[in-house]
Amino acid sequence: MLRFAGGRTMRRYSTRHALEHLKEGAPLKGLFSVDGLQKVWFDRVKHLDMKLNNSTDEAQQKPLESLIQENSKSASKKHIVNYASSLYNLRFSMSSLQGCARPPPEECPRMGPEALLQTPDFNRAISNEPLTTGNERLQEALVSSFGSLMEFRALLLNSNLAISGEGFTWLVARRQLDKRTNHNDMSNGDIEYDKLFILNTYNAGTPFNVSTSGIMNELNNQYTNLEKHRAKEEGKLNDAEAASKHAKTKFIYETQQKGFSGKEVSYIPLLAIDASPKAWLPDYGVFGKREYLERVWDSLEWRIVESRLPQRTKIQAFSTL
Amino acid sequence: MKIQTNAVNVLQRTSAYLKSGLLKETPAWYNVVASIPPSTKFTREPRFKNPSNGRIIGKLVDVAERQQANANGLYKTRPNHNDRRVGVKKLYKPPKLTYVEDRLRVLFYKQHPWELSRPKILVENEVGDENYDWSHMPQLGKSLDGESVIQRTMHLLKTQQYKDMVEAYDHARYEFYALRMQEETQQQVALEEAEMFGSIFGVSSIEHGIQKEQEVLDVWEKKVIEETELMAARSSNPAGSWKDDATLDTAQDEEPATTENLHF
Repeated sequence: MLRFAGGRTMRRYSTRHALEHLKEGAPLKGLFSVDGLQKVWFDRVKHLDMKLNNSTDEAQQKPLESLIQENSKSASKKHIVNYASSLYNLRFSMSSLQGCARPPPEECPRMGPEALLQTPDFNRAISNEPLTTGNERLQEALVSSFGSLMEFRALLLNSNLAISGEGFTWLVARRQLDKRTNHNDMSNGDIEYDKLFILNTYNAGTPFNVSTSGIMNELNNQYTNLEKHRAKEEGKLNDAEAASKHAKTKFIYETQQKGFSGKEVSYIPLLAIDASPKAWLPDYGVFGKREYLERVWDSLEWRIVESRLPQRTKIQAFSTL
Repeated sequence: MKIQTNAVNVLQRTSAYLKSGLLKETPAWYNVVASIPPSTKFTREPRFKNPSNGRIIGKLVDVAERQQANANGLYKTRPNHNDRRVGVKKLYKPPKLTYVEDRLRVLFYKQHPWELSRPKILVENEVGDENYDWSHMPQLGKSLDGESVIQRTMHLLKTQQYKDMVEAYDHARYEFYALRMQEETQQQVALEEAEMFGSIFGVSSIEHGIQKEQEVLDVWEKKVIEETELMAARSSNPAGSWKDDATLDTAQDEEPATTENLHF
């Protein structure tokens, strides 16, 4: 009977995007009230899912990542990418929130305009450290990339606080693919990263750089082709000069694109925090974003974040770029 | 010079003028000066105590009271010429006022020299005129800077939240760091967000300066190459050099002038 009821509530929005720990009609304790969670998660997911289904037939079969990747280079399919990306970001950010032991937000007094002039807390002790939940590997990775957990926390929360509209703050792992050893990588099936970064995306921006990687090369190729065409039409072909010029600009763009190590870069998302007013307005009010972020930090489930963390590359030398 | 007392009587004189009808209207300053009349005491009075630190000025120190030995391990038993002199002059000088805030300012800007490179409006210095509430560090209408740290430290000391000045200063400093970090991220993100939504920013003033400099340098480079070639040609063919002395002279005249202009 219970299972049946559960099934019925789940059917109200697409079950594909459902998260186990979020239940309609229940609060996410310490972070969102019942009403807040409804507005933060369920309403938005339903809306975005409906929009995505209306815009493409493939929405039901394909995972969101491949929808983003396949359509990202087409201008006419921009809306598909936007809906898929928004949905992916939202789901990703909610997946690592488990709730915390703080009193429910609806019972706490709301901050007034004095929150704008609030002095930061001098207390330098951190709650909810990955080390206390037994995620030493993550802690070590964070410390080696950001210096200390305090610095990481300040950077993460400040980056999110600074977003004035919709957006997400991500913790990403950088993965450098060496073209020469690419085949070995594929055969091993291991994904390695060299450093962690914090990244902001705005509106429906995605942390994957599928649409931007190599774009300068493509534009450059288009440009040189146009130039060649024009030169041909004018009838004066100065091949040697044009070829050398082309080679030079191509080299510059390629080195810029790959960094100096000759590698292609991609990013693996580990953690996302929602900066959208839709997330914090219902429960924390106009001046409550900082309070919301403090609670988000306490609610983070480091176990899930660590499970997304790939292996670290062994060779660290010369990869500082 | 004789003591000038004329200005002191201004109130009495004006009253007389008003009474006699020489002046028709009461001057704007009249009531103010009447309520706070100028001092009529012209004798200078000695000040025996420095009000800022409570030290006694011009006190004759008995040599016998000094118990410290000098470098040779000897004690002073008789006053020398300097010891016998009483600093009478100092008694009539306005004593130097010292403030703890000044020492804090020196310390802060010594520790954070780059804070001085931030642009500042000089009016901002008149903090005393504003009624800021320093129970919190950020203020409406005042940008965050070293002065915020000093005022916040003084507030922490006045409200007895800290007894030790160093601790209070450290507290204020850490708050300042946290706010600075937040501010910097905010600026960065605002720029990023604006660019992401399509804003295009022109060249900065520094880049503009470099561009202008480069224009001059390009001209200079051409000239230098020409002149170097000329010099090389001259040295390789010494027989030909006496022939075109005239061109050589003009070239030499030009060179120092251009380099000087370019500050090279």
